[in-house]
Amino acid sequence: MVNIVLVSHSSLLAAGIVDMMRMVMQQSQVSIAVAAGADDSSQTLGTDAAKIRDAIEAVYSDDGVLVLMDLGSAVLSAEMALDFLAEEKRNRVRLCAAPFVEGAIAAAIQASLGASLDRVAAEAEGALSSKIESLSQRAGTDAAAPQLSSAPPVMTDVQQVRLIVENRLGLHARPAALFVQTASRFQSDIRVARAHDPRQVNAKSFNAVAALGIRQYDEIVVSATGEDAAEALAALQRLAAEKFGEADDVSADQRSLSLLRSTDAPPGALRGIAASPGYALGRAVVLRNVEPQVERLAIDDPATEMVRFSVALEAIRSRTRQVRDQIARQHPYEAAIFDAYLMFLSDPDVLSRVQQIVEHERVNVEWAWQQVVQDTVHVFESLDNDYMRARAVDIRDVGLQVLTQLLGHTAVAHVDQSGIIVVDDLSPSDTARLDPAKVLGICTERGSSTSHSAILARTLGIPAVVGVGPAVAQVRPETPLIIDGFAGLVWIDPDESTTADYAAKLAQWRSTYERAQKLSTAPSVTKDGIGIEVAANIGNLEDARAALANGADGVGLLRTEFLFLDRTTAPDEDEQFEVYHAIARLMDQRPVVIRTLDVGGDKPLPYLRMAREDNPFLGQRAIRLCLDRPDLFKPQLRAILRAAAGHRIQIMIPMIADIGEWRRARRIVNETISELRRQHVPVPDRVDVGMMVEVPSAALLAHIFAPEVDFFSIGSNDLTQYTLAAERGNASVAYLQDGLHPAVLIQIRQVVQSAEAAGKWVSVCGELAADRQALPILVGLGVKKLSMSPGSIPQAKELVRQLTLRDVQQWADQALALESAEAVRQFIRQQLATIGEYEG
Amino acid sequence: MPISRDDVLSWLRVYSQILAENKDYLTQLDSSIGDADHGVNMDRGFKAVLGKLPTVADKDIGTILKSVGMTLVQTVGGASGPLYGTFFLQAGVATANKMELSLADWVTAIDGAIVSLMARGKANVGDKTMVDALVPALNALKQAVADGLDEREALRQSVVAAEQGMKNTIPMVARRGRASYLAERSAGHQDPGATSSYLMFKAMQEAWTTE
Repeated sequence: MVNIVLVSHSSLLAAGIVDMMRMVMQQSQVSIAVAAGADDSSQTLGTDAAKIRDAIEAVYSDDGVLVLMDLGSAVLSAEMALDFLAEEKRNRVRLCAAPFVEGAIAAAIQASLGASLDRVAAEAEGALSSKIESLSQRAGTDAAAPQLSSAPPVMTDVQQVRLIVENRLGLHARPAALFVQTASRFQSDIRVARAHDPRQVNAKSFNAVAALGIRQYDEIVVSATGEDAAEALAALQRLAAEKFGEADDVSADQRSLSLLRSTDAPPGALRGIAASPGYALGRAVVLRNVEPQVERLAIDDPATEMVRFSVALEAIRSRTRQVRDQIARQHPYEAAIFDAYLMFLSDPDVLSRVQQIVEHERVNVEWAWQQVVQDTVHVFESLDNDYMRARAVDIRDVGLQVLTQLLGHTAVAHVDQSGIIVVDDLSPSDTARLDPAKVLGICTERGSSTSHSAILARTLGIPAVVGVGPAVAQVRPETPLIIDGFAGLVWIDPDESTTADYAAKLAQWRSTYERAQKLSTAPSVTKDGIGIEVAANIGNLEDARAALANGADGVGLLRTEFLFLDRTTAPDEDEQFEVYHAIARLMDQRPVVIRTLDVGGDKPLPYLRMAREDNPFLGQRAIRLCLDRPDLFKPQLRAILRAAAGHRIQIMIPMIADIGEWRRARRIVNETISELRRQHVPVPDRVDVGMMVEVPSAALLAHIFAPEVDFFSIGSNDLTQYTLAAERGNASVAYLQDGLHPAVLIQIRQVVQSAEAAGKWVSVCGELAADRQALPILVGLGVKKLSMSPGSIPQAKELVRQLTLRDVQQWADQALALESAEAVRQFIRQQLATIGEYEG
Repeated sequence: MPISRDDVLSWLRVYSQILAENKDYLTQLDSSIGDADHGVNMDRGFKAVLGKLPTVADKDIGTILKSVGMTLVQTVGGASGPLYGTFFLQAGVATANKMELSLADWVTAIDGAIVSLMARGKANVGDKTMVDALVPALNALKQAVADGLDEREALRQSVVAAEQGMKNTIPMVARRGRASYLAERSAGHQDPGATSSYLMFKAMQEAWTTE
């Protein structure tokens, strides 16, 4: 047993803490000794090294003694006490830097579990983290938390691994972010350096890791110190083996290649980098980036400056998250740009440097922030790596956003006229905020083949040519322009024949695009006449508009979480009603499936004050939470039911694992309907209520549920996660996260068969539905409705039209007999080729 | 003129008395930038030392100084307990079994004692601590010994250096101890620890300089 010594100025304080420790230790064998007060009376506030030595001797054990101290002389006296001990004992006594109260409780628990001295000390030292986390969530800032995470490690042996970075672009934004995220999951102090370079940086700081400028085939040395060092290094090693999440991402390479600049240009044209395909003819809208002027001002109150800073940071973080989520719905790869931004905005090194400047120089935070951003930009600009140099633009972008937020300005002029944007360089945030309806095209003076703005322009479908050069600066507003985003050409004030030529090209390009769009609203029916409903997964009213524009047959999944995120209280019934009603009205008589709130430990809402869970995906999420929180569940049901009047709204309950949960949820829905009727609120005669199948227990017992539900909707992402015990978003088990695994397909068949026997229908509303290889199997299994992100709908409908039910039924039968997801994919690729469909 | 055991005893008694007289002054200094207990703590510690001295008065200098160190460790309470405690314990180690010391012996002893104290407090010159008075005083003593000055002049110069060092702490920003919590606001106040260290040399001069 590790025993514990408390050193305090006050014997009363120490006695109180001992009481609290006893509460958590129960019948434990752990001994606690107190050395508190100075002078023999012990009434004097102070500490006494001799008394501390005596306390250590009194509870000395070869398993170790952990000494916790309050502050000031307590530390000095404890160090002195250590000098008084015999050397063999001294080595088994650990002075612990943990916070006194929290550390004592954490140490008491660990010691009573029989943990080692290292473990007890590590737990005690980490004891503040949960308090920091919960308070920073309340305050809406997590600025304080990462700083503490780099507290001095427990002194144990340093472990090292050497890794080769195989990624073509080196450890650039996304792999670096994954590296940092992975490292941050561990308590150990983790450092990384280039091989043969003694300069080590904190592996939990994105900024520091990215600034190393690691290129392809560079060797890095990762050192870890701490209790979980071995696990941490193993995880990072796996990550490197999987090329930091880019193992099967050939598109990154292809994308970069397609962006390369050609050298020659036809007469009259300027050659730039083809950044986003398409044609645009229009007049120039010239934007000028204005860097705000920052003055160095003396300040009296650093605390107020830091509060202003954290408010501004949180505003930018929140806006960045919104942009990221918006992009992520259709382009998860591009969304990672903004993850890197978010990491920079929470980077412990960056934040503490700002704090230091403000506190030591007593200057305004705008000045401090600008210094830190400029320093960081210089570091990136000086790196011997094109990709990393381009990241300097991103950092300047983030820096500018925070600065303008602090100053209360806006960065780039709002574009309110239709035309082609002409600008020296466009930041990713500005690009993401452009309105594709008004912006016909983009032409920039600077910008590189790896610029994030280029990637985002593609995402938004805006033709763009970047890096055209200084000629762009001469373009006057209203000058006629042509953008050829396929060839990377820009024509300034083109002649008539060129204009006519491009007008024809544009018309043809547009008609091709529009034909696809037109077709998308036609029903999707297989060759042998079986109709398959293709609906949209949406998160808000804008998505609903996109769904209609892409020809959705309805909404197969309305995620209601967006209403509850990024705010301090839950939305009330009326607010929810307004949103549900607006979406239902827009969708007219098309069905709208509304999923009740799916939050929990994995998507925490600060105002719910949920207990921290070790395994949030296995914890109180979705319906498990709603059944426990009628104050949350009832208003949502009332809002949905009210909106259902006159529309085809259906209710879907997520994460049902057991028939008891289903019956309780269904009863609450029924009670709510009766309640509304009693209050003379109009509710449709019949409201369909279905359940999601995400948990294998629900799939296996689908025949029990089928008579009681109106429909099943398979959440393929979660069903895969729970079937293969592989957490979504954990890159190291990404190879298991394939919904085409026969183990998942067999469950889908089970659900479809049970549903058919009871006369119910089944939809699939996960990513699997939009997967070109999975879609034929799902249709073959008897799934009647597919729901996916709006942008995927036209292609999915077109694919359905190429299928014959009898064929895909056979494919499904054969696929179910295969041994792995890989085998299923290989098989389906062959089958698709036989019907002349590309393999997807 | 060698420093005898009785000289050491008389230095400790004089220092106790000076601390008693300056108790409120030290506490007042400490109330500006610390926790207002330095005078009280030092006075309590050295009152305990006075009570302890008769039991070791017939022992060698090393034993006396070690006994002072342990007494301070147990009775001062604040950070000055382990710091002055370390100073006297270390000085006691260097003077073990000695009944009298040359000035050079004494300089060597307090040199080691100050080094240990600095290691204990992890403080350096310029951190606004007792070190800012102790180190200049020690250096002045060393220089005086090297220059072959007599004891009276050597002590005088060390007190002048200690006083200057103490005053130098006024504009400094504290980097160690409770005062460092105040950061910039600690500037403009004289450090109480440097003051009590200056008084220690002052007591040495008073006790060892015969009129």
